[in-house]
Parts: sequence; C-alpha cells; structure tokens
Amino acid sequence: MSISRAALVDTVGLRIQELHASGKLPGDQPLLRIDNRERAREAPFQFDAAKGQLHRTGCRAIPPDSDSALYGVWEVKAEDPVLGCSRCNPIEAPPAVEPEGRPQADAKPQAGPRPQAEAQAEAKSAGSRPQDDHTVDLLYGFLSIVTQFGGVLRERGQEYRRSRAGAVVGARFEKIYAEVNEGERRVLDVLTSSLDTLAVVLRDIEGGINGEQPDGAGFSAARSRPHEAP
Amino acid sequence: MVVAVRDASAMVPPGGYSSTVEWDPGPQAQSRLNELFKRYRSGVGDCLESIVREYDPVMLEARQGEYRKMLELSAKMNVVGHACTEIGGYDYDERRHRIGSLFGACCFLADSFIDDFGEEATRDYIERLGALLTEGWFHPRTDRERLFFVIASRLFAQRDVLHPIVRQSVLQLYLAQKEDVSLRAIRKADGGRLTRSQLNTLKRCARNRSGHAILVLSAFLLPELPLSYLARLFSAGALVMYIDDHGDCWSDLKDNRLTFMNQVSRPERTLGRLFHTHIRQLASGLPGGDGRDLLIAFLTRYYLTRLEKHRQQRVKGASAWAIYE
Repeated sequence: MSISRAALVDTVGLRIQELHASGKLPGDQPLLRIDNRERAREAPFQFDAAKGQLHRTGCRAIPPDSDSALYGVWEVKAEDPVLGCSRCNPIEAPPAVEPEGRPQADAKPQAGPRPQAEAQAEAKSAGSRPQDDHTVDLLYGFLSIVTQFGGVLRERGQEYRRSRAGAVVGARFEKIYAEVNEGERRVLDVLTSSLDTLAVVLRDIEGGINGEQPDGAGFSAARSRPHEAP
Repeated sequence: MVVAVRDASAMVPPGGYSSTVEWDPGPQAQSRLNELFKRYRSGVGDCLESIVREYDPVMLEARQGEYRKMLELSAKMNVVGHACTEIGGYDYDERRHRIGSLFGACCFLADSFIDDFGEEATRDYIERLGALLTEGWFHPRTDRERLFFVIASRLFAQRDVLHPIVRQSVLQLYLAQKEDVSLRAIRKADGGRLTRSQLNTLKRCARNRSGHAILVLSAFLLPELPLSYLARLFSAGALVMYIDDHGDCWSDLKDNRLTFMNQVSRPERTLGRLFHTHIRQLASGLPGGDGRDLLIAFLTRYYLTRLEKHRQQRVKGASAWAIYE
C-alpha cells in the first residue's frame, strides 16, 4: 500500500501530539514556539503597521492605539522606503543590528529617543556577538529534540533498520562509501567521527542535567519507561 | 443566495462620494477578477477535498453547505493572495495556490471554533491555540480538530515559520482573535449607546483581526515583506473586516455580537468613508501594476456585494450560512 509524503507527515504530526497527550514524551519542553513576543519587544525598531511608521523601540510617540499593530524590526533595508518617526528619527540609525532569533542579552526598551551615536554604539555591540553562538543555539536545539524524542527515535530507528526499506538504505550507504575517493572518504570519516564525538558530549551533558553518571549508558535507555522498548 | 456584480456600472459606488477616476482600475481588472475567482473556485477543491475526506469526512457528506463555504473563503484568500504576491513582484504559482487554499481553510475552521460551538468551546479553543503557538502542542480530540491541525501543519510546512514577520503576524492575529472574543462581553449601558472608547476598541479590534490576517497570508506567500508594503496591506486587511462586518451586521446582532460596524450610528455612510480613504491610500501607496489593480478591484467588488448583502439581510433576515460572492 502506497502512502503519500504529505499523509505520512500528517500521521507523524498527529502521532507526536497523541504521544504528548498521553504523557509518553518525557519532559515539558515545547515542540515549536511560534510566539516571539518577548524578542519582538526587544528589537531595536518597532514598525507601526496601522500608521505605516517606523519607531525606535520605546519611542513615546507611538500611539497607544497602535500597540496591537507593532512589529519588531531588526534591520531596516535601504531599498525599503519607509516613513520614520520624526521624534525618534529611526532612519538615521545604522541599518544592521542583531537579527531576530539570536537574542541580545542586554537589549532593553528605551525610555525615549537617544542620540545617534548611542544607537550606533548599541548596534555595534549587538553586531559583535560571535557568529559561533548561532551554531551553539543549533546544537542546543538538536539536543532538545534528541532529549525529547530520543526514546521514540531510537525505537523507530531499530524498526526501520530491520525493515526492507532500511536494508535498502543501508546497502546504498555502503555503496556510496565504496565509491567515494580517498579525499572524500577522509571528509566522511571526520564527519562521522565528529558526530560520534558530539553524541558522546550530548549524552554526557544529558546525564549531567538529569543527575546521572555519564557512563555511556545513553539517555535513551535511561529515559526508557516500562512500556517502552529498552 | 448569490449576489453577483457583472457590469461595469456597478463599479460606481452608491452615494455622493468623490469620483472613482483616480483609483478605479477599470473593466480590465474586473474581468481579470472574474477569471481568477472562476479559476480558484474550481481549484481549491483539488487541494482541500482529499484532506477533508481523510480527516473529517462528515463535513463532505453531511455538511455540504459548510464545506462549500470553506471553499468559497479559500477561493477568496487565493484571489487576495494572488494580488499580494503580484504586488510583491512574484508570480502566483502552484505552491502559492496551495498556500492560499490551506490558509483559507485554516481561517474558516478557526472562525468556526470561535463562533459555532458556544462560549465554552470558544474559550477552550483560544486557550489551546495559545498553547499551540507557544509550545507546539494542540492535542486534537475530534475529527474537526484533527482536520484543523493537519491543515495548519501543512500550511506551516510551506514556509520557514520562524521567520520574524511570519511568527509575529501569526501571533498578532491570534491576539486579535483573543481580544475579539473578550470584547463579546461588552454590553451597552441600559438601553444606551456604547461609549466612544468602547466603539474605538471595537474598531481597533476589527482593524487588527483582518489587518494581521492579510499579513499572515502575505508573509507565507512572499520571501520578504517590505515595511513599505506591510502597512498598505494591513490597511487593505482592515478594510476587508469593516466591509465584512457590515455585511454580517444582522446575523451578528442576531447572535448578540457587537461590532464597530453594527454599533456605529450611520454604518453605510461610515463604511463609504472608510472605503474611499483606504482605497485612495492603496492607490497612491502601492506600486502601480496588475497586483494593485486586482486588489482594488477585489475590495471594490467586496464592498458593493456586502452593501447589497446588508440590505437584503435587513429585509429577509440573517443567515450565517448564505454564500455571497
């Protein structure tokens, strides 16, 4: 029986919801957070969609009626002609600051318009955040998903590996590996080794978080419940 | 009941308002609007029928009227989405057609959870939608909820939903819906009128409900939403809601639901002013082209048909399930 990709994704999505509803997923982490109100409030600019005007965050000229129509803006593009507030003069500010999704630890709403030099200094400070933080955020994201779905993923992985489709995929992996040249093989080995190292680190971190010994027992097993596969 | 506007003379708004010459996109845009409505009315079913059949088959079998209304809203979203996409400088391709269809169905089901199953169900939905947006958990319990969840998931899969404008617009739309529900508790003081402050609150809520909705749709359709368009599209969305509420005036009053348009003292005159102000802003603020003309043609058609709907329902009585073009 064939099943479309969309239907498969639907089934997985619904199943994850069922698993969470029945308490079979460990922890109380969010699956996906669309809500970014806090970060949007901390963005350097606020765009009033009702009046079509850009303000610096905290500008007192934002009408109360527009509070529910504000959009946090992290970057004002030069090619996007937009009306700036005459009181806080946001267009004068340097264009690029911290993009949304990379929280700025010291971002605070302003009490009112500030000199351009101050805004520039803040933007410079925000822009100086190491790019590596983005990678670290990704690693934390990866960790949170593995933590949350580790047991389920492992169980499904074992079943898939035993299935005919899994065997085909395995054979393909071996064939690809056999065909790559020496240089590519070295890259693959480094990659595999890095992933393995990462997995060990993640297990250690996970063990530490849960007060367990990082003895290599693995968080999947540690998180198994009586009704789940060990 | 179907109200259709087919001749160009219907483009002239009733009443003694200013000339339409400066913004009227003309018969060519009206003709294009007709073609697109025809195309999307027949096309949305291709995207939605199989999903409805899989997850809530009763809607197809026993609630045909409701299903048709969902298709009609999806067709409308496709036309608006088509205009917004062209304004942004892109073609409304097959993927965008799918987004428009899913978005329309999503809005239809969300509105039904709010409006059709009583106050307790409304509160429950608002709370659970909040959890979905802050945590990702929804826990569908009925076929209708499963259908909503699957449609929302498929819509979210079409786009990077963590894009700042996408997530902000989705959240703002949710907050506007939440405020709309909370405002249903507003009651007039003993037989009197609403205060000016209450009326302004209702107006702002109407503005936000549809203003943010059109931004969600546009953010799903366009890779980036320039700030200069964002305000114009928000304004177009707000106008849609004023028009919609005027058309639904009698059914809303029957349901004891107060809106800005059913509480303002001279609604037709107020709507006429709002219509002309918003349309002039769109005509001067959006880049000239097919997209802008299509959006203005759509809004004009919507305005005229809802004026007619309002008049007919005043005479014949309100029906929430009537389908109007």
